Amino acid sequence: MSKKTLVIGGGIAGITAAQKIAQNGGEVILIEKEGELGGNFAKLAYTFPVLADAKMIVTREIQTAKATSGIEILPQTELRGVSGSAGDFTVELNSPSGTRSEHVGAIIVAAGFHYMEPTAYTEYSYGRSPKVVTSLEFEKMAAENRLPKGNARVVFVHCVGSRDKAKGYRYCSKICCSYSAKHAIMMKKANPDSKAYVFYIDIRALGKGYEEFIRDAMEVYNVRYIRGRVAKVIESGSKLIVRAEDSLIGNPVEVEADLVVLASAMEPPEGSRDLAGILGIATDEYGFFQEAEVNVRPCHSSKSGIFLAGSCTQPMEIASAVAMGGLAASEALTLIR
Amino acid sequence: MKVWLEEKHSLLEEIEARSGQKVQECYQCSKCSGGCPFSRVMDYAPNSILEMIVYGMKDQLLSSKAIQMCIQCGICGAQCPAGFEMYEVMNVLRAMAKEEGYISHETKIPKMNNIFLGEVKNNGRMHEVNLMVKNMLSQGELVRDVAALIPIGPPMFLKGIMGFGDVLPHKIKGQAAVAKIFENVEKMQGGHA
Repeated sequence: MSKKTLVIGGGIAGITAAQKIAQNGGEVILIEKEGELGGNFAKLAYTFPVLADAKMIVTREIQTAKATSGIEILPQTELRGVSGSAGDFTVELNSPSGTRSEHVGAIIVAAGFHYMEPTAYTEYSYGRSPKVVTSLEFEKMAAENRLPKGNARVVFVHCVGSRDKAKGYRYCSKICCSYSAKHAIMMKKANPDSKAYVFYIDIRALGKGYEEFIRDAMEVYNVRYIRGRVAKVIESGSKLIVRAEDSLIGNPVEVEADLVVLASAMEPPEGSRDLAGILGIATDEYGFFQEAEVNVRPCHSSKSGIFLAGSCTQPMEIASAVAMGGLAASEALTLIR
Repeated sequence: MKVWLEEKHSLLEEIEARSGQKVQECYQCSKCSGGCPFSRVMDYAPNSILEMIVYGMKDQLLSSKAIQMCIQCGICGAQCPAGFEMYEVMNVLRAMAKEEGYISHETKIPKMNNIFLGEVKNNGRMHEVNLMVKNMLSQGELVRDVAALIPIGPPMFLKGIMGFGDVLPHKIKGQAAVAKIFENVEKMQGGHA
């Protein structure tokens, strides 16, 4: 076993892929464009559908990768060029210390995703009111103990950028229903005096423990679910007025809120099309990396020897990204053996 | 009210053809109704109207208050995640109600619409005073309407917003051309303007 594997992206999918290859005797170069490993996972406080300490889990996985022999981790490093073919690629890596060339047998793309900036949603006062934040900002507020105190009302808005072909994407981002429930629960746990409202269109929470998780938000934590897409968020003095139609009773509804949290869509990672151009692989209509076959060969890119893992292929929760990282590792191992 | 799923979607097809909107593109997220400034006084919210079209509930739709109350402001369309122009559908429904002689549960707005169009047809432009007086006389609540006008009308003269020259209607130069437009539209719609 002489050839290395290049893993692009140090999020949970890339970390998993690197671990599995190294644990099976392979050598890995794991590059990450940021200074630290962990990706989007490292920005979270808790996981779903089990409320576990996200920081603890991701730190553990990073430590495992660092402690596993055969993994070279290169932070602040980006791919600049690729030549060759499956089993015999030459890659050019750029980091602050300079450019270096490496021979690798396989490449795994685990470039992650990006949370959409909902700047187009002027009707939600995003960017105008500091009390309208994205889900990612809510995670940060929770981590920094800055969630509203006292008798506060917090409104969670589903499908901001998802299922919106006019201003966002046609697809469903899959995880927003679950993470909004998680945020509502986090809010109620951090401040039991607060009130949480979730405006939904449908609830899409599929998988073991997901339905129960949503029902717990409603039944155990008394989060109020209202069926209707929010139409407007209006600044009114120190408060926000959230306006929607409750389509179950066919009547307009207004909630006075202290904080509005927008569940912004998962979109392809920044620069995904450029990266695909360097690699010579296909992307889909949105810029996610295109799998060869959705069902049976989800890890194969359009080019032999280059594999895909995690949310750079489609909106995906952590468990799927881990599974895909493992599968991509096994595909790479077949080439480098 | 019990509704039936129809085999034939003739109402749906007609509305889609006339409005240029694909009703089936609707997500039923109800954002249109949430943003609509009049949904609280409508008998059916805009998203419900789309569902009623799919069910083919023609009688309820064409006699509804909702289709008369839409002011065509376009907020529904501007915010719709499907890029669907709901107000165009409202327009078609209102036109169909008139063509087919439906009596709306909302009677005041159709009366005012007719007076408004009559003014434009006769003078080539809208004349506010005529519209107001004719509308007040036709709605049957003259005492209430005059009382409501007292705090608004005189200050408009005092502040110079209205002058005495505005009291009588002025015809525009191209009045004949406007009348021709009305004639043509009436012909196209089989006698209904």
